[in-house]
Amino acid sequence: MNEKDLEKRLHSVIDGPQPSAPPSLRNFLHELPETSSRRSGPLAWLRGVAGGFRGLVSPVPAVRRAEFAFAVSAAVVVGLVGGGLLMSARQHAAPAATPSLASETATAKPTPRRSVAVGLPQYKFMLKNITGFQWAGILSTEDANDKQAMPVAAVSMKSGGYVGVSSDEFGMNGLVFSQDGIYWNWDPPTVVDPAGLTLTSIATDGKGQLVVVGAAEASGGTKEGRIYTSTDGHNWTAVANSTTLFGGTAIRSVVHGPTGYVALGWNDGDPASRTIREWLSTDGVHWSLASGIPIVGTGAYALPIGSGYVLSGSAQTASLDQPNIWYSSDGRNWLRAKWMNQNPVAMGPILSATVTSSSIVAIVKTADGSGTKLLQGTPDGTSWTEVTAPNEPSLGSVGSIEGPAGRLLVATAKVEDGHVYVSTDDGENWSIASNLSTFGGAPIGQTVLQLGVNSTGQSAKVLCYGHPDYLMGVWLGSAAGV
Amino acid sequence: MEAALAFADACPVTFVEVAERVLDDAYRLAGYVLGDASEAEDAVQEALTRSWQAWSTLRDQDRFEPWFDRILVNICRDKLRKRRRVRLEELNDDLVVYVEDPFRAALARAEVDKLMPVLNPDQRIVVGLRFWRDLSLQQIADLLGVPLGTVQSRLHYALRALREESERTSGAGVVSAEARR
Repeated sequence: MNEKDLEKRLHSVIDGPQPSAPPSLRNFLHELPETSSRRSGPLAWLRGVAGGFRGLVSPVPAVRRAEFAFAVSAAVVVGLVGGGLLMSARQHAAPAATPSLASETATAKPTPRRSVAVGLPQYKFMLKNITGFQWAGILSTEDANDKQAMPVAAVSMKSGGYVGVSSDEFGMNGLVFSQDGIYWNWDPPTVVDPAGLTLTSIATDGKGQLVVVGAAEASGGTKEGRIYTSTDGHNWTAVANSTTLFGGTAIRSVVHGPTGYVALGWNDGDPASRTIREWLSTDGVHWSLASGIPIVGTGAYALPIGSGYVLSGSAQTASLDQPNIWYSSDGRNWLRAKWMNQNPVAMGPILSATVTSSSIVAIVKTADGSGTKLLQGTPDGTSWTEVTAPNEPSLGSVGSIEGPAGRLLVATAKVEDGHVYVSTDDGENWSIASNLSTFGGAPIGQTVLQLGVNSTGQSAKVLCYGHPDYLMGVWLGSAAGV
Repeated sequence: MEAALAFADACPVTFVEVAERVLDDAYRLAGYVLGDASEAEDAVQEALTRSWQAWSTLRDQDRFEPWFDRILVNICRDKLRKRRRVRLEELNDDLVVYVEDPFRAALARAEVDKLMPVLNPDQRIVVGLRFWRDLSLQQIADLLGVPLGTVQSRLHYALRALREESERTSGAGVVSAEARR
């Protein structure tokens, strides 16, 4: 092929109709705050005349609310495989119909709409948006120097960008930042407290406050719980009287719900004799120990819902008559949920759950811990029923988004079967979204899903991350057209 | 006329208005350079964000398009560089719904999609600006802020690499190599 032929071929790429910017991109532009407007000069005016007097006749649009953050309506769920240890870190669980994470002032920096990635130390995660039920994967190189930081929990910042808690197999722990949610600054992670502590979870009130929790190593190997607050992700203030408030217990998770923050903590050791402790705060700064937490043992899982919170763990007194799920409007007074129209089901604690517009869908451990079951709860968490879906896969992690055509659940399998599953009817039926076996296996087990949708609902963005064959991976998909 | 100019001067032209005018072209430029609609949307979002933040620093509003294009091209370059560090693989899936990527489709129709990976990010950008944005070499040099000779050189080596890759993938290279033995 000579040069002329090659050039002709290159030119021919733009023969024919050309794609226009997609509606989601146009919407993103139109939601930018307009406080940065400028005065036009005469040339601009003349251009306005040529363009149909646009510069003169176009009214200045009203200042729009800067809802930059696409919805991460599904919670961030973090679990540790094997130890039965569950941690969670969630945004305030937005009701399904109100997927925006936060409203920002007109002076805040816009953040590109993307989902925030989360993962486990063992399972590295990233994120991506894409259109269609298409899935693509990104594998990093195996070169350790090329490894990207990936957070185990992350939230969007009011000032733009994202901050996450990161931890790797070499024991590095700290905060990592990302402007786009895809590439995270890792080297080195930002240390919240030079005295040394291990961060485990992060939450935000959606109004600019960030809260991270973790534990410091005290003398004698005991854990001292720690909570820090920040508004910029870089300057952190320790909650006063930490030793008195949290001493002796590692704090594992924090979530933000309707009445404020709920933090859960427990220490390592025999799961059967673990004491779960709960702390509450309305402002993230002042915390109190809650005395009525009804669970013991193998860890705890908290989920913010529209009417309050849902809690799961092992009951203090084992009983089949009621599920191991509690609900509360304030995070302090817990009532045990009931089975709805069915015989009791033996079950373990919730592994992963997501709030949809009409229900709560939860993956729970079986009573013997060998498998999983799928439960569906009423939106207030009071009543639950087991979902027996045809060909029901053994799921490990679930997330949901409000897509253009309704709610989409996305789940990963508990065992590596090469599939990501989707459901559009709150888990009643599942189908395989994509066969990822060619890619070294789909994200599995406790893999975290993080799903998001932009505030206009024009396109839903789905992502999940995994760690097949010890390579960091990301699986991308979306719900457009679902 | 003076009154009209004064009136126009008093009318703030918003970022949204000027950005709207270049949005389609920007999306196409990013799409062809990156060869991926989703990546293009990401890149343009990023460029919108950055340019919105720096909007107050733009002295001459009439220079918005080249200013914005430069931001966009830099973002595309970053993405292409990162792509060299992370392997991006399209999965051969059983897709429930298949949405065709218009940029990949156009590159495939022209039978250049398989050739593009041989180009480094700077070469790919020059090819994109020259053939898919139809800019002159001088315009490309101005946009990128590099000497004209640099653009000529990048384009020369890009075209040579594309030709060689085309010959290699069509088998001609193999035949000639065997013939040489």
